[in-house]
Amino acid sequence: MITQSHSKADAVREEVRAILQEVLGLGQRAQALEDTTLLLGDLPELDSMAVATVLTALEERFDILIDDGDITAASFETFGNLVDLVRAKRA
Amino acid sequence: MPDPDLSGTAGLAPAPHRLFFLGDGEMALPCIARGPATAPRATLVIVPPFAEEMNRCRLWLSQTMIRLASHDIQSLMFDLPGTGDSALPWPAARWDHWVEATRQAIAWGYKTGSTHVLAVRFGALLAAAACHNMPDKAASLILAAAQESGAMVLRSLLRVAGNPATLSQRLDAGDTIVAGGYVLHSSLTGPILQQKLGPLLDGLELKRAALDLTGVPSPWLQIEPEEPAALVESTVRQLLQLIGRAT
Repeated sequence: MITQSHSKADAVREEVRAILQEVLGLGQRAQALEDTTLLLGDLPELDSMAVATVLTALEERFDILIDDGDITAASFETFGNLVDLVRAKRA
Repeated sequence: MPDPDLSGTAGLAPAPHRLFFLGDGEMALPCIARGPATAPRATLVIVPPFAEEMNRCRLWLSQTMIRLASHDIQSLMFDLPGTGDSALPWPAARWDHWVEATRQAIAWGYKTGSTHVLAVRFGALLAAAACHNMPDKAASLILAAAQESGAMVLRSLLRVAGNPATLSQRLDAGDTIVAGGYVLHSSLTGPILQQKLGPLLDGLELKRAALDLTGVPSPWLQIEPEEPAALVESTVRQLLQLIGRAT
């Protein structure tokens, strides 16, 4: 049985996936994103402009404010880390 | 109210466009207009997003203008001073220039009849500022994915160059920085930082509406914007309904 908290967590993951798909134009490749999938350095689309746009999209879609202090070198390392960043800001 | 008729050949052939400048010299506004120049059903003035977001939105907005023309609605899109085909160099652009340019574009619409304003992203702040104290009132102000504050607008751009908080401090100290290819300095960013949509909208005595863009792509967030057919369809349908109600 899926608990409500898990369901909400999955909703966050899927929204982050949708944002990466839309911002980076990943198409069907977005469906293959798993928590361990490498992002920065592995997705050629993810340059500095794209990182800035992803952060803007995350802030607007989740109605959160992500300060630079919230972002570490690991934040964009994997898909799972990025999802965790959003969860932490929503907590 | 029934959905507007989007069937038939409407929108399939690009309507003739007119390119012209409003005003003279460096502050002249490069404009593109589509739709009937005389006796249009209504005129829509599009107030553009900021910097890179405008580039990403151009195809969406251009296709929307073409579709509106087939419904006898004239539309105008202009480049803010310092952007696009404007003769003013970007570093010389100022918030006040942009507000005045927006007023000029809206006033152009008045000359042709009932005029609505579509304000996109950063354009919402500009349009709201411009609509204050204008001698004539727009028939409606329609917001599209409006940004709530100038701080949010600049934060997005500054991020491209580094830590927005640190860069903001440098701007406050009088430094010039480059973010995403745009030269920024406090003469431009200071007034933008002061803008908040809520207070700007307060006291505006005109009809207001917002496009519902959920479930359709957001080109301003796309590094390589995709074909905006679904977004254009949604935008045109809603604009026709809103203009039909307000005209």
